[in-house]
Amino acid sequence: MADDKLQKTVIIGVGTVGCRLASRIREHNEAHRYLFIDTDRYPLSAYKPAESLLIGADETEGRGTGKRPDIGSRAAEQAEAAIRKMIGDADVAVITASFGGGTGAGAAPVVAQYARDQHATTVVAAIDPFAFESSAKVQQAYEALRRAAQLSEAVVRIPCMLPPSATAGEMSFKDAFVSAEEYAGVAAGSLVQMITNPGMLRLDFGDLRRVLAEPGGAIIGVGRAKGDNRVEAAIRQACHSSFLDVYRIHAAANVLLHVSGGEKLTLAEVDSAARSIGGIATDGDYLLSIDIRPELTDEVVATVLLSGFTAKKQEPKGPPPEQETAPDGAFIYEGVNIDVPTFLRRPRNRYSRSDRFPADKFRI
Amino acid sequence: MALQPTTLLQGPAQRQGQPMKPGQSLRPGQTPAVAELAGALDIGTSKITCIIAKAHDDVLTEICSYATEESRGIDRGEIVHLDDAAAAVAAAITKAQAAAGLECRKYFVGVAGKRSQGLKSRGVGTLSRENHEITETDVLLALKAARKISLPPDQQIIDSVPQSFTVDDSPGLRNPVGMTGNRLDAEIYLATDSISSVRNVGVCMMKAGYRCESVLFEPFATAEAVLTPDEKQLGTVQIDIGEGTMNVVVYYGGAPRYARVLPVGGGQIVRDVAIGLSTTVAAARDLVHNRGVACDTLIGAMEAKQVLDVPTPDSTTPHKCTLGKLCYIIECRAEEMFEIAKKEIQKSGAANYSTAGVVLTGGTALLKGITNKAEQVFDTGARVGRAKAFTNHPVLGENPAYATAIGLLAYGVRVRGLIEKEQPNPLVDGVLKIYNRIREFF
Repeated sequence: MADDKLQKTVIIGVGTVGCRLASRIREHNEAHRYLFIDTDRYPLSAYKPAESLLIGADETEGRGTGKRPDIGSRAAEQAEAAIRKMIGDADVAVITASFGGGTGAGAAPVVAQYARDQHATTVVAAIDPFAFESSAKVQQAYEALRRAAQLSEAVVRIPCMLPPSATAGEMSFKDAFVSAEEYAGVAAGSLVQMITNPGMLRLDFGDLRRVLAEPGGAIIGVGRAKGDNRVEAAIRQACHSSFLDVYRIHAAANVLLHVSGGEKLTLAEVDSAARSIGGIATDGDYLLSIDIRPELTDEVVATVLLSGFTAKKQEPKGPPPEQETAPDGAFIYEGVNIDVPTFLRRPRNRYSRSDRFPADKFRI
Repeated sequence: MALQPTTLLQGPAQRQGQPMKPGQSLRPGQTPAVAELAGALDIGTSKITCIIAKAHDDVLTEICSYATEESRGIDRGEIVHLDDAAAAVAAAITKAQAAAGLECRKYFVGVAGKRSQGLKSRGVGTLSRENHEITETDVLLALKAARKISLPPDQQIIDSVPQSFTVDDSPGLRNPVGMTGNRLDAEIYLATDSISSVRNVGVCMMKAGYRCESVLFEPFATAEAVLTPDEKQLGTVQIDIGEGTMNVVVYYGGAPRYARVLPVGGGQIVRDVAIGLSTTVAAARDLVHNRGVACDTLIGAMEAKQVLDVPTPDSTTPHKCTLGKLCYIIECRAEEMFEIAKKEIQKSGAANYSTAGVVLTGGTALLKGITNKAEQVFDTGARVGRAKAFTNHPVLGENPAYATAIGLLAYGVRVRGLIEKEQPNPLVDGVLKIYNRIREFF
C-alpha cells in the first residue's frame, strides 16, 4: 500500500476503553490519524483537544452514559456533523470500542455508519465483556455486535482474555485487568497493522476484506513468544486461547494468519508458520502474511483471524461431518442412520446377478 | 503352573521373564532375566485378547500364552466404563499369565476408537553442512518437523510412520542417509486419537494393576501382522472388522497412506439378523456363525430355500426362516460396510493406491463369503489375513480374530522396542531403524 494511503487511515476510539485501546495502537503505529470520542470528560482530557471529541454533553454533562447504550447512541447522533468532519476523507476507518460500556456499545455502530457513508472501509474492533459480567451486559454486547455488523463492513471481536494465572486465583484483579487490556491492545494493534501494512508476504486489502466481511464477523486471537520454536508457540497461543476454543478453529471457513517478527525471522520459521496454518485450515482456504517489524527483536507476534462460522457447517479436522453421531450415539453416514438394519433401508442386492433373494420372497 | 492372583501383582522388584514359584522373590542385586517378555492387549468391543510372548532383539521369538475375556465397559472401540473395562482387562491378563506361568508387566495396548484418524504430514529439514551430506540427525530433524502439526485441542498424535523422503527434487526415497542435497523433506503418516480416550486406556490399565508400555494404533499393528511386504508395496486395503468398529488402512509403497476407524462392525450384522428374524441376539449370533453367508453367489437356489429353526425371544416354539433370508440380511449389511469403506478411501484420494487386493481380519472375517463380498465391492482380489508369519500357533496363527493382538506384539516390539538399545535389526529397513531412535526424541 502506498504511503499516501497510509495517511488516510483513521483509528477512532469510542468510549473510555475504546480510546485507551486506540492510544495503545498508536504506540506502534504512529503514522495514522487518531480520534478519541467519549461521553466522559475526564478520561478524554488525556488526549489532545484537536483529536478528541466529547459527545452527548447535553444529556450526560460529560459524565458518561451510566452503561446505557441508548444514551451513547443518541449522543453520537447529536454530534453527527462533528464526527463526519473528523473522519474526513479517510479510506480506512478502524473503530475500537468495548461493547460492555454504554458509549462503546451505543456510539460505535453509529460512528461506523458515518464512516461508511463517507466511503471509508470500516472495521469495528470490539472488546467483549469479561466472562464474569452479567448476562444483561453480554446481551447488550451481542446487540451492539449485531448493529455494528449491519452498519460496518466488518466486525472483529477481541476476546477479553485473562491469563491462566488470573483464573487460577494468583493474579490480582488489577493486574488481570491490565493484562486483558494489554492483550486487547496487541490484538487491535495487529489488526491495524494487517489492514494498513500488508507485510512482506503480501496480503492485499481484498484478501482481508474477504475474511472480515463474512456474516457473523471475525474473531481475532493473538499470541506472542520468544526463544525456541517461538513462531509455533505464538501461533499455538493465538489459536488455542480459551476464547477461540469456543468457536472451534476448525469450523472457520476463513483463516488468516499474520506473523510479525524482527529482522532475524528465518525462512524455516516462516515455513513452520505456513505448515501450522495449513494444519489449522481444513479446506486449505487460508491466508498467510508475514511482516517484518524491526522493533520486535527476538519476539514474534502471531495474529489469527477467523471468520465464516455461520456460513459453513462445523467441519473440524477431527471427525468429518458424515461421522457425526446423533445424540443416542447412532452412526449417521451421508444422512442415513447406519444403525438401522441395512435390509430395511436397501431394497436389493446391488451386486447380485439376479434378484434371487429379495427379502419377502423367502418369508414363510 | 497355576499362579495365585496375589503373586501376579507383586511389586516392581519381581523381575519379569522369570518363571516364578509361589513365595519366590528376587534378591537385591540379582541379574536381570535374559528373556524379554512382552504382552499385547487388544481391547475390543466384544472381547479382550491378551497375548504374552518372548522377544529377542526386537523380534518375536515365542508366543507363551494367550487368553480372551468378554469385554465389559467398551463401546465401539472406546472405553465407556473404566471400572468394568479394568476388571475385564485384569481378568484377561491374569488368565494369560496363569497360562504362561510367567509374569509380564509391560503391555502394548491397541487403540482405535471412532475418534481416531490418520493424516499425512510433511516436514522440511535444511541441510547446512558444507558437503551437503545427509546424516541421521538431518533425517531425525526432518521427521521431527513433520510431526509438528496443529491438531484440534482434544487430539494427540499416537503413532507415526515415515512414508518417504524427498531430497531437493528427487522424491520417493526410502533412506536418504548418505545422499547429498540442499533440502530434505520427510513425508509421514500420523495417527491421532482423542486425548481422553488414550488417557482412559492408561487409567484402565493402571486400575487393572498393570503398566501400559505403549499405546499403538491398531490398524498399523494389524497390517504388520497380516500384510506381506509385497502387499504393502503394491497397494492393499487392510480391513479389520471387529464387533463395534471397522479399521481400514491402505498401504502403498511400504507405508500407510490412509487409515480410518469406522463405527460399523460385525455386531451390526448380528443385530440386523436379530431384528430381521425376530430372535434374540445370542441366537442371531449363533445363526450368523454357523449358517451365515455374506455373498449370494455361494448358495444355490435350492440351498437358499432350506428352512432354519429360529428361536423366539420368549422361548416358545421356534419359528421358521429360509437360509436365503438369513443370508440376504447379512449380505446387505456386509455390502454396505464395504461400500462405506470404499467411499471413504475414494474420498481420501487413496483409491489409486488400493489396487492389489483386500485383506480382511477380525472375527467377522471368518464369516463365510465375506471375502467374495469384498471382491465384489472393491472389484479386486480379497483374502483373509492370518498372522502366520509370526506364529505357527494353531489358534493364533489361523484365526483372523487374533491378528490384531499378534500385530500389536510384533509391531510394538519392533517399533517401540522392549529395552533401549542400538543394535542393528535385520528385519527393519534403514528408515524404520532410524525411526526407532526418533521415538526417544518425542
